[in-house]
Amino acid sequence: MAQVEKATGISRHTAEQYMAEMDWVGVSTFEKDGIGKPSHLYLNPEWAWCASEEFAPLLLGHAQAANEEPLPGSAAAQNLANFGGCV
Amino acid sequence: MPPVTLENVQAVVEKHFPALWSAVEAGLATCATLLLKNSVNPVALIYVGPAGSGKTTVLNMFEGATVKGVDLMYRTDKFTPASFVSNSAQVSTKELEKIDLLPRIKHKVLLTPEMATTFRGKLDDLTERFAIITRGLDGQGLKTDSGTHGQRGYEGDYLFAWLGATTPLSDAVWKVMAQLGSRLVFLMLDAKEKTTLDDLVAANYSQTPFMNNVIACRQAVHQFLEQLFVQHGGVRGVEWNPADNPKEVLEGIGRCALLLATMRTPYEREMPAQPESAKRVNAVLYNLARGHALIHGRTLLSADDLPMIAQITLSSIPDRRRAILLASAE
Repeated sequence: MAQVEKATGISRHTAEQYMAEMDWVGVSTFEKDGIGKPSHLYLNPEWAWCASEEFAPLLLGHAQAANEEPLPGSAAAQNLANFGGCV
Repeated sequence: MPPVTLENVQAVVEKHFPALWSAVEAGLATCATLLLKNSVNPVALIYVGPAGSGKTTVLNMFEGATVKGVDLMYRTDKFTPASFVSNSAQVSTKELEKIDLLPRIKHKVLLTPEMATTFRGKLDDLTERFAIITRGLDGQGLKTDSGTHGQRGYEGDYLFAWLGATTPLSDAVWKVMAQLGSRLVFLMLDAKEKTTLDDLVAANYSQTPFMNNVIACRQAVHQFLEQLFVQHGGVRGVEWNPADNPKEVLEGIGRCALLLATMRTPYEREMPAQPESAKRVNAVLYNLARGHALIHGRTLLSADDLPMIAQITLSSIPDRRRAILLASAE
């Protein structure tokens, strides 16, 4: 629950609504244990591949890559020099 | 003029706009889908982001590209889906053929830098608009009927590609698109960071104004696209051999299609979930993957094509569900 609140930046109540939607579409199971207790969202077995070693990096990878700065002196920089068409 | 490689284009774009390379690469892949001989599914990739995220800059890089002197792009700043096949009462039936959009974008890339008005409005208007878009994206033409002009339109091979841009979508738009089995796919461009006072001062010290940087990228993109289209014999010039597709890559594309079709099912609490068929979006993602392969000099799919497909899949899932899915995958 805390992870979802943090990821979405929305209130607990609204986050629970969206988690219930995820349950409804069948991707996850939403467990709400009661007032004052943490709620949980589990990927259903048929969608477990979303979090698999092979697939999860594809889903998560771009967010990490977008934060990376281009490396000075990289192959890309060399290509730039080769092209020579830039302003 | 020496040939320009994709790596050259990447280097130029990353020099001037480091955050925009993945968007430019996806745009090039979208253009390359026109090369596929047996493609019947136009690819429409819409960049989504707040003002200043660079989506118009990306489209600027594609504007004006030609192949052997013939325009590859068709840009319009004011676009309504009804203009695909016009039924204007103020224009004669004969004259309408000159203003219809569909024949003018056949075998070209439609560029629509401002689509906010397409994605806003009353539910009925949105539904009508997206019904036309969905039909147009069948690639088989479009026929409409009106009281003034009767039936008119086009059928046959009306393949085109589409690059557009808009601000983040409302829940209502996601719902309408899901109900119609929309073929639009999206790519999120995030506002990387706030512009500081130092940034603004530095911008005015720069000897290369912003537009010069865009022009540098545009030259590289245009040269690369022309080479690519000439190398492959123009639109529909590539005969793809499906038997050579690696199974694990097709499985990756199929999983993305299943995920996307399921995750954009509109919420009706009292009803059981009825996801759209994943076949449509699977065909679009497959074409995009093949376009990505072509720009990388391959006529075979590889695992290298999957990150872009996953990125577009994620971007095409409604915002909150996407965030929850990512939290789950972590």
